[in-house]
Amino acid sequence: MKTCFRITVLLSLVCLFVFPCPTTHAQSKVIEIGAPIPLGGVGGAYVGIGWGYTDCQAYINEKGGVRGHKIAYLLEDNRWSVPTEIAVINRLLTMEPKDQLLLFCGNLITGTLKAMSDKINKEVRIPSISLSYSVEMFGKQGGPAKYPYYFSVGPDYSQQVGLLLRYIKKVHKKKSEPRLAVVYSPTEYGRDPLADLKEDVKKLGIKIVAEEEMAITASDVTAQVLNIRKAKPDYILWHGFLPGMPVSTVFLKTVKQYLPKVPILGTHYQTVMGMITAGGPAADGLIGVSTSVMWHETNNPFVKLAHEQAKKRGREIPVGEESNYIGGWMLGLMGAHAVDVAAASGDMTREGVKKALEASTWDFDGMYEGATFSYASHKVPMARIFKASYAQKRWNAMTPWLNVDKELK
Amino acid sequence: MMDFLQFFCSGLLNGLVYALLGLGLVLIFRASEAFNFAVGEFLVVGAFLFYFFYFNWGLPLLIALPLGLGAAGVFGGIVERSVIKPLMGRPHLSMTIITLGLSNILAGGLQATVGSNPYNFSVSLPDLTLDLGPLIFPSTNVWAGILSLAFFTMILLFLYKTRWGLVIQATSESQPKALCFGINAQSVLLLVWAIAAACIGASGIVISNLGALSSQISVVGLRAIPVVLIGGLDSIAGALVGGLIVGIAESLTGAYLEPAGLIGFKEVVPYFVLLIALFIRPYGLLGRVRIERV
Repeated sequence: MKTCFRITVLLSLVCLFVFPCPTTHAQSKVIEIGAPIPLGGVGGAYVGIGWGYTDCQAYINEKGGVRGHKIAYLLEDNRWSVPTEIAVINRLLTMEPKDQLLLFCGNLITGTLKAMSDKINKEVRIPSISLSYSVEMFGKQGGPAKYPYYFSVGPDYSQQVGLLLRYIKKVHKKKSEPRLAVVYSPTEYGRDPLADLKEDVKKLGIKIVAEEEMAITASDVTAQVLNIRKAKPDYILWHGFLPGMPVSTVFLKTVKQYLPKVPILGTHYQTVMGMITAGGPAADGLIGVSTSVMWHETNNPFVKLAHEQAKKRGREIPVGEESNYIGGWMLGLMGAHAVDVAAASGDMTREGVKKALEASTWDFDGMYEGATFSYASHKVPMARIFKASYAQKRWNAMTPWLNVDKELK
Repeated sequence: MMDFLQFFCSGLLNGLVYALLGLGLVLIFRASEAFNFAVGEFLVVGAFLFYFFYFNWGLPLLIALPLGLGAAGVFGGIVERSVIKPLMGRPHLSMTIITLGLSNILAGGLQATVGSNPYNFSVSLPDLTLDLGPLIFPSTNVWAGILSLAFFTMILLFLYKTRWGLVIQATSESQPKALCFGINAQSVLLLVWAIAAACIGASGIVISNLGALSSQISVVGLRAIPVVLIGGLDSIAGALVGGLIVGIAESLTGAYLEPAGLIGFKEVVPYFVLLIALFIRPYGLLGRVRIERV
């Protein structure tokens, strides 16, 4: 009898460990968010984004997670390479349980979004928040009707360029029409806004006097800059580069020497702290559109939160990584917020997260300083124009938050 | 015509930098008959060593530059002792192949230690901008040309006007004969690798000053391959000629062919020129023709 009792207890204990209670498991399941980010490769390593995710994860989980569920950002290096990122996404989709991996929230470069559009939007149907502002994906040609599971965190590149063109019209003092030189990288990313740009300049009365492609691996761009110089532009618009690409600095330095008085204007990824640290004095006076906040804007509640959390975790953000750190936080909080709303509605599935994102009016804990907007277009329509100050080592806002849905009407 | 002159001279200045880079490869090939595929990583290491002395420690340029180049030389020596020397007596091909592995190890090590983001790299030098109306040559490009030419000349003087240079030449000619004359060939190889590393490091400094310093500028090192193959792998003068040809070809392509629709052809044109050069002279324009008796 005693032996029988012992065996029963032992078997019960074994069963408890081997077959844990399914209800308990379901309640405490970890919510996974796939996060491919560039930690190496031709575009540079953006470790700050990873720190942003890591701290955001700790912040959310210390508060008890999302409705009792811990959050885990699955950080993967995409090497700023489409094949690598596709491999990462496929691996995560294959290995992670469908009820745990609820969304992707990361770099998701334009080329990947194009290549994976059928798989993500028709086959797997998983919401994917991207750091891409691709016109083809999020602009007139794309959007929710064509790519219902793709989301972005800012206006598309055409809209960003549109803001810059209107800025040029506003500040142009000469009687003749503004002369614009356009420089872009021969990548999907670089060529993305060109068609809309050419339509927009006609409407606004801006003349494109030079158009130059600049390879992202180029070590010398003297010929391109000399071609631009011959065209005598009033402004140079550059798009399709990252601060981690050596060509970005080579371009800034070369322009500064051949055309020191011509302002250079860029889109979001040319308007990050890394561009000032890498470009040095050559980056002084750069103008750019950013969809994000800057690290020094400590009055902004979102930036304040990031500063507090970095301090709490003893993380010193090196100069140049601030924009990346903020970017990690943005994506991290946005993903967690979507899961939270989905959980609140009782539909914590991929479909539920998509619906939560579409219905969202969330402003990243006050990042947009009270400005309201709709997220129905699957992109946050907010951006500002900044000017780089090398002396202050920062981007100074030249405009308040601009809602492109209103500004570009 | 003025446009042509502008692009031609800009290419000439870049070509001098490529020539210095090519010289590093030629020195190594002449001494050990190995092709150093880790040239890109040597370039980055040399530039970073200078960066530490000049930007991090804030030493004056005239002290930081020799210290940086000296450190690059020590690095070259370490590589020779640890990687090349153990292969002495084996086929030369094995030395070449091991530099491929070395390239990967160094690239990974660099990414792990200095990351892959660019570092601002602007050396304070007097303004030498040549503004001649329609022709303009910015100061950094002029300095790049001057410094490359100066380094190139210094190495030539060392090779042809000093006793050690003579010893290097003798060893490059034939290691067994040099040994017969009592020359310590192993020490000479060490010296050659050190000088070559300093030479490649110097071109790394000049290249970084044109843009930024990053572990990714190692890709520029690949330019040395068409440079030395066009000029001749064993020819010092060939490195200069090859460098100038590649620099000018790149510049003129960027000016005339790329705007005509051949975007990105500038990156390919050195290899295109190489192909033509090899059709005409398989040993390079100034390379020594080898006759092997079988």
